[in-house]
Amino acid sequence: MAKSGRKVKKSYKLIIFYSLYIIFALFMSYVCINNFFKVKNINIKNGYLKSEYKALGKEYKVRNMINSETADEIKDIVNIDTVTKETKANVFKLAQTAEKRIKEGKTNYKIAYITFDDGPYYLTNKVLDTLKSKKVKATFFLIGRGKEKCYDNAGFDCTTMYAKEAAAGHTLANHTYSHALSFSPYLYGSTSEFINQVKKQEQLLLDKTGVKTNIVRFPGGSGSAGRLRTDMINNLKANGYGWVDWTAQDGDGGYVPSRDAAWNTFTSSINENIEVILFHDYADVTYSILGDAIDYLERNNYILLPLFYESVMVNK
Amino acid sequence: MKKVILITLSLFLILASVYSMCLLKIVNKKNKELQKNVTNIKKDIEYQKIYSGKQEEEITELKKHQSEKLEELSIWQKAEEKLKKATN
Repeated sequence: MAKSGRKVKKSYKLIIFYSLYIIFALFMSYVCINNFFKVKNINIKNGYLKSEYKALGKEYKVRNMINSETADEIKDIVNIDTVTKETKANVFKLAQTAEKRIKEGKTNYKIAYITFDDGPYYLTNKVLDTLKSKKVKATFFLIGRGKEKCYDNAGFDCTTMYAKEAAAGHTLANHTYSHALSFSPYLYGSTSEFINQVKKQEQLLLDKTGVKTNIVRFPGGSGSAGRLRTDMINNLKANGYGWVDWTAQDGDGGYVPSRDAAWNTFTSSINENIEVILFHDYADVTYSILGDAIDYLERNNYILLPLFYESVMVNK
Repeated sequence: MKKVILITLSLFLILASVYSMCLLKIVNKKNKELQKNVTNIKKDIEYQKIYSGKQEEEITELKKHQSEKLEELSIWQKAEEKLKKATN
């Protein structure tokens, strides 16, 4: 009896053990299978992520390349200003040598400096347009008095023209602030008055354009300064200015009856191998011959340049 | 014999579970890494878009004046060429 009791007890223990073991085995199997399924799903997601990363990587590379190309393009455009500045400096350097060779008769080329006095004026916009269309740079001898009450043909106050002329690459030069030849205080009344008007105009141009001018033309020409001419010239030199008169013109500083008269005066005044031509940008008659005058000069082997301080034509 | 089978099976089940847990940990880690990479590269691409937007603005502005600048340069180059001939 006791033996069979022990046998039953042992059987119960075995049943419980095996049951627990089966639960344990099932649980562990579930854990394994569940984990392996999770691993499979995550691997699939990882596969998608890798593809996405690869595609984004390509996009990143392409965008980088485009940005780099655009940066180069920006650099090239910005570089144009640098190249222009260098070319301009080289032009003036070559011009000095060319002037020397022209004076020595060693070349068939000639040089002409087209200059405009007393502006800016109502016609200056149109003059600038003609110079632009002919691809020519000129020199503007500018005054200051009354210019804020003058209006150009676009309806703007003439003082806005200073910056426009500078931006267009022309040489800005000093024709004194007042140009007072017929009212008081008379420009040539004293050397100090003359130098003051030169300095006043220099400051005005510096304020309006940021350009420091160092070439002066006497209103009416240096001869108009009379007995004070030498003293004034010495003062200009002492203040670092060069000065220049002219060698050719169309007569528009006085009365010119017709276009033909202006043309004849102009062409008959072109005789030298280096010319400084006097025009006025208030004169309709000058504007009417300007394009043809440029063509005429170029046909006759003149290289058209704006004045520069080192030119042999600028007295220092 | 039964004991050996039971012990072997138990060890196998335990090892398999441990292995699957380790594997799960590894792929989870890889997944987080990939997600981080994708997020980062998306951020970089966003920055690139902003930068290229600014570049576009800059180049549009510059191109407005490009033809004028080139024209200006060509005028000086024309004079330079003539002067080179005059100085030769």
